[in-house]
Amino acid sequence: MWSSSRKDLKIEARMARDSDAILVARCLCQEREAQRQLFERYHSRMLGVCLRYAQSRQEAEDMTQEGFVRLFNKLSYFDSERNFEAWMTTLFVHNAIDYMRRHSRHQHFDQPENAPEIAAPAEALERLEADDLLNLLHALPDGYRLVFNMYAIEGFSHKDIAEKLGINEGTSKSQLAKARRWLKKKLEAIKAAES
Amino acid sequence: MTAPHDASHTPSDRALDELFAQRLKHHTPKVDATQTQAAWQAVDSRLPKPGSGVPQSGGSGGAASVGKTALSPLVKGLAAVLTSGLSLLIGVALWWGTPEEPPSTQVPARRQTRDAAPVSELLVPMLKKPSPEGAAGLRPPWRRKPGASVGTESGRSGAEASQARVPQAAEAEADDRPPEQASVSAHAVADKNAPQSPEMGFSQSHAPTTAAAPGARQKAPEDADRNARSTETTMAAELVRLHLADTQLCSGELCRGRVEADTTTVFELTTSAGHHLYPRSGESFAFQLQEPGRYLLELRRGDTSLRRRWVEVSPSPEARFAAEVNASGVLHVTNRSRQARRYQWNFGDGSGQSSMQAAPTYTYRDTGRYRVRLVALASASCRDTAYREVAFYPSEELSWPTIITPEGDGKNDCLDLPVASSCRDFSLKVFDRDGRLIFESNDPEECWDARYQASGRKCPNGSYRYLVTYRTAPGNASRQVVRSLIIQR
Repeated sequence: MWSSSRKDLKIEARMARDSDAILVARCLCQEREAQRQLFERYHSRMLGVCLRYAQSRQEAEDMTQEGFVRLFNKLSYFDSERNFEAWMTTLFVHNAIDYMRRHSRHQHFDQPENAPEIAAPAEALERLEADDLLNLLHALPDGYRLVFNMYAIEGFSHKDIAEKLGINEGTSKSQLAKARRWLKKKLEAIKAAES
Repeated sequence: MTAPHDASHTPSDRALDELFAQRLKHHTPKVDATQTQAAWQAVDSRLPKPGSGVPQSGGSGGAASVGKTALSPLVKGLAAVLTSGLSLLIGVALWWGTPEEPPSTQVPARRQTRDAAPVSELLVPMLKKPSPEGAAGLRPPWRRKPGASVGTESGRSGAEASQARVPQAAEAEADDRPPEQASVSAHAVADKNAPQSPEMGFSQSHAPTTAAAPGARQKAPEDADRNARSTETTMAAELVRLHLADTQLCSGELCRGRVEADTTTVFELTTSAGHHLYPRSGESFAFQLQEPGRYLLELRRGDTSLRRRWVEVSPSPEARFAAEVNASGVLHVTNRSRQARRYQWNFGDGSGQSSMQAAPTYTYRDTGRYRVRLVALASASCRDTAYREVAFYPSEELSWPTIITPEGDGKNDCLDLPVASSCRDFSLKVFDRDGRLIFESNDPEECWDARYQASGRKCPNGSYRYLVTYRTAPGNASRQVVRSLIIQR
């Protein structure tokens, strides 16, 4: 038999999950107060997801709002056995991908020549802050950023990326390679500026 | 990866990916409260408008249609727990009357306050002599106030025994009510007929909140005392609530609960497992139930039995299995779960296919790594989940590219090798015609785009050679492939 402490942990975990689940169930009844609570609980985390995909903070905020509207409309598809935050994050990632596809500035094959220079932080590469990396990402052309996000951060395979974006796998791979090369170049520049 | 000379400056591809993934995957930017408020207002204005103050059950446009499809398992689960708890109680206690609402005209369609636990407590005065036909007539005056909520009543009536009576009661009450309230109650009753509606689930969970209405609290004790003393009057209409966090437990789990009453007397809680607890009002209690089975909980004061609840304890299941995929993609599993009565398998390939068999076989269509999930269930709430990763690699790989055309049209722009991204000990080396190594990589996902690794300049058109070594899975023999490659821009 399990020890009681392990049981207690299990109960705690279940209660944490339940609090999301209950909020979700209330949202399903169109309870506005519950929707607001859910929004407040997850707004900044989801903004974090969107920031990676967007070109600017403003765009990320638009994306986040759109994501929440979509979330509340799709909430009935949530399977309460799953982790809500994980499910929600997936929804926001897909929303971000859709958003970028719709608002893409068709720069898939542009060379990022006129990318803004990133101020070199005083710290070593390993200590780059999330904000610095976000600035780098924001300077990437849309197509590169999208593929890089999906592959490196979300962990999609090239096959998935190709399917979702309607491109072929080779394109996905070359976009990724270009994105990486560009990012490396910038990181090197930062490093060179330090030393 | 990177050429030796600049390896110290440039992070490898993997390290680059990891750097970004680590810092950004769970990055939460700072957002101040006013920004959140503003953002919420923007979202709020784009959501479907709920009806103004009237329950959604009337069915205005968007809200209702969402509600219909909104049957998440959670809502069903809540309803099921409540219903089962209720029907048990009905067996010993005749449900009687409607709890009082404060005399405000607000219909408590959506209460904001709520407990996390699926509280199925009831304000159920018990009749020792059940007389269903007398139920409406016996209702004391304080229970006949016009504000009484039929929404709550319909919610309670999940138990089939009482369902038939509800419309009747609703009609009877609708007569002394202002017209708009009568129509609301009609909605609520109609709602009951669609038992799958989420509204339904919620009115049930609101029941305890409604029961705690202050008006009812003040008047009940007098009734309770009078009735307790009288031997002829058979009611113990006392406002005692026995909350249980869950009525379906796994063995060894703590059964947690709380007693709420108007009095400060000490109650006695006994279980058929032999526990004796003495909770006061507002105190929580917990005890452990080891042996699987059904247990009766009885809350008493002196010789008076106040509340009875059943708790079901199932054996804790343990999900365990071994899994293997053969070269043609057939998954074989060995189920080593214990104490489970049912199983749910998910094969992790996104096909949505699942199985309830103890040890199913399954055929994967595509190569790759999959996460197989097994849920072993002893009862609806007693479950355990296990995961296992399996990999399917075909015995023969696909064709190896012999030409790439890196002119940037998105077709064959880079050297796209037909190896699984999860293969081991991968190495790619590209040589020019003179046998000089011009590029190498250990990343199976990397797609070489015909540039010199050292300088980053484009390789001229012509004939090259590449060498690939890899293992399809750890422990397998290393494979080696040599092909010639034409670069044509």
